[in-house]
Amino acid sequence: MSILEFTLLVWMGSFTAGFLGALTGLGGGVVIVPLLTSVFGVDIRYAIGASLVSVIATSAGAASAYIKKGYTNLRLGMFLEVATTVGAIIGALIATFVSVKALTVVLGIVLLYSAYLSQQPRPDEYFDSEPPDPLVAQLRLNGTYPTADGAISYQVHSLPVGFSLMVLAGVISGLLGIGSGSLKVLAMDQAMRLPFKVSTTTSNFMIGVTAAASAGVYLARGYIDPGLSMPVMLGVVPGALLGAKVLVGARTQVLRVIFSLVLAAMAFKMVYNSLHGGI
Amino acid sequence: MYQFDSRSQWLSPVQSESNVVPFPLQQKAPDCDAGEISQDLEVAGESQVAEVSSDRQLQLTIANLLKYGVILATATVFIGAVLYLIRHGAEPADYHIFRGEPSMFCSPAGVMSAVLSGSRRAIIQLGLLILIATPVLRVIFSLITFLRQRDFTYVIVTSVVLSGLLYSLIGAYFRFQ
Repeated sequence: MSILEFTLLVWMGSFTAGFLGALTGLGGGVVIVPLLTSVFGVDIRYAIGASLVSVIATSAGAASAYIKKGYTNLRLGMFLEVATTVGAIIGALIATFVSVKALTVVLGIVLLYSAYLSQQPRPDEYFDSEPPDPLVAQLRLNGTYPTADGAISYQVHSLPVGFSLMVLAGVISGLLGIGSGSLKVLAMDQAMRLPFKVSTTTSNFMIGVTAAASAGVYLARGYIDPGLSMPVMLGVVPGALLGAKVLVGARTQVLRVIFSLVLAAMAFKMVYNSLHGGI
Repeated sequence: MYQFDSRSQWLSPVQSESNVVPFPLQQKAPDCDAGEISQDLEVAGESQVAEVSSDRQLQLTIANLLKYGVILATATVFIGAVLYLIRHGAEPADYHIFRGEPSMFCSPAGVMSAVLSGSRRAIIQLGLLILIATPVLRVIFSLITFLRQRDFTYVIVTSVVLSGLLYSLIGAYFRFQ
């Protein structure tokens, strides 16, 4: 395959991944690594580097609109970035001496878990009667977000649990070059009990900094290849932007099911290939 | 994505437990205009006037910084891509075996000197570096804003994040060479 053909095929694959990732809320990064390794036969380390770059691009591109609309909780995002940044550097450093087989198996598990999470029903919204947490008040993390009925205020709960989960999300992001958005949203939805739109947009806001933290390590290790990252980035970004536009009013239930099945299939193929000396 | 559908679902608990939601619901959809900020202020209290408007200012600046950072990075990568494909498009592609990038593509300084010496792949790599720098700039900008506001809790928070990023971008390079 010539570089031109390879570039065009990877571009089309990345565009589709970005589009579906945005439509289903799973993010493009989680598909890019298995797509590059199991379909295009790319070494997983190059795939992680290219995915990481595309994750920064989609995060920054989408965050801009969400921040302007007022969904993103900037202070909460910046506070939790302490956890994800530290986690991401640890993850990236682990990735540089762990075997490719181990990386592949961990990625397979994370993919299956993401596929499972995307099938879970959204948690109900909470109205809490608990007194405000003094630490949360001190950090001024509580906020409001816009709805059709005006601004609704919300409280942040279980900050220590959320913070610990964010360290884990950072490690996985740094280890595998994905945004680990599903884990971040899980921490904010379930542990910190934030409204769904606040957790998804704040997660998206944090992903850029988290990915940048591990990108430095990957760049220094020579994992970020310009020829491969170029079609991935140029494909994922317009794909994700288009997906976000189509999302309004689209019925995504069926799509979610199909997408998570594809994800699971790719995860199995990748782990199988790796354990049988393939790729 | 999740839809905030039924309006009654939202309103009923708010009415029964008014202490839960300190901000009364506003009639119009919130936007970034001055009217909404002043409505917020009536509830939030005079002392927070400066903070609310400067937080809003920070939001807008960060949003624009991220937007233009991505546009600049994408444009650079695209230009590099066209030049690269014109010259190397017919060569065979091989990402099957990991070799690691040549050391000039592994650091900002190396990429800059490769761009100046006419490498087309280096132009793409420069675009990727601009992309990685965008969230870093966002953290630097937030740090300056919090310093100006004398919000020292967040000065510490953003400083920790920034040192992590700088360690990764600069420290890792020296460690691995």
